Amino acid sequence: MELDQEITFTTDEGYEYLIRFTEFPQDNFEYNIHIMDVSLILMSDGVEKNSTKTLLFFSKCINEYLLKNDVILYYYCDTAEIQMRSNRNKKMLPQEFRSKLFSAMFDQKNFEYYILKAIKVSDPTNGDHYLSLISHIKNTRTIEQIEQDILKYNK
Amino acid sequence: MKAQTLHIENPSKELLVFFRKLRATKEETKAKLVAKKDLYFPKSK
Repeated sequence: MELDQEITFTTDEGYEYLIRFTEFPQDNFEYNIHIMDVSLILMSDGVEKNSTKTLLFFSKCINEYLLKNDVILYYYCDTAEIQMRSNRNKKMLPQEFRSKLFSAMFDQKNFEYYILKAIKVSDPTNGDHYLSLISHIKNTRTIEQIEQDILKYNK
Repeated sequence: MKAQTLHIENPSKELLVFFRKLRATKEETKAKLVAKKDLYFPKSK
């Protein structure tokens, strides 16, 4: 089965998106399951601004992909500017905001059969890194193994 | 489903290099794809 997939999508506001699933090469890892990168790429110019409808479409695409493919998806949060509410008390990095949006997309009752883990890696020089892992709950042990493997690199 | 967060507060140099490389690769890929935007979103004539 072809795991790499691309979906194009234009929002009601006219933003053009490419949703892209690509396999992560496991040269140095062995998890006995395909690990796929999911990218939500804004192809239009300008600052990203996501409506609830757009976020629902993203979660629908990811849900459909995971229902068809037994994989672990990871979403690495982009550092490009993104529009946030101006009344937000805490100033967030774009990648942190994307991480929260991604979690919010799956923070619903109908996604209880998934496990979602967010990973934050502090990087004072280049800006913190945010990554989310999502898969069916049957792959919980593998996701926990990935977490343990990353934790080994915490000094 | 509530996401749980794992925070790596003191990453090793090796882990930082891995994540910085991942970010750079993704930015490069994004730039290449955006440059080919007309293939994905052809302009109607």
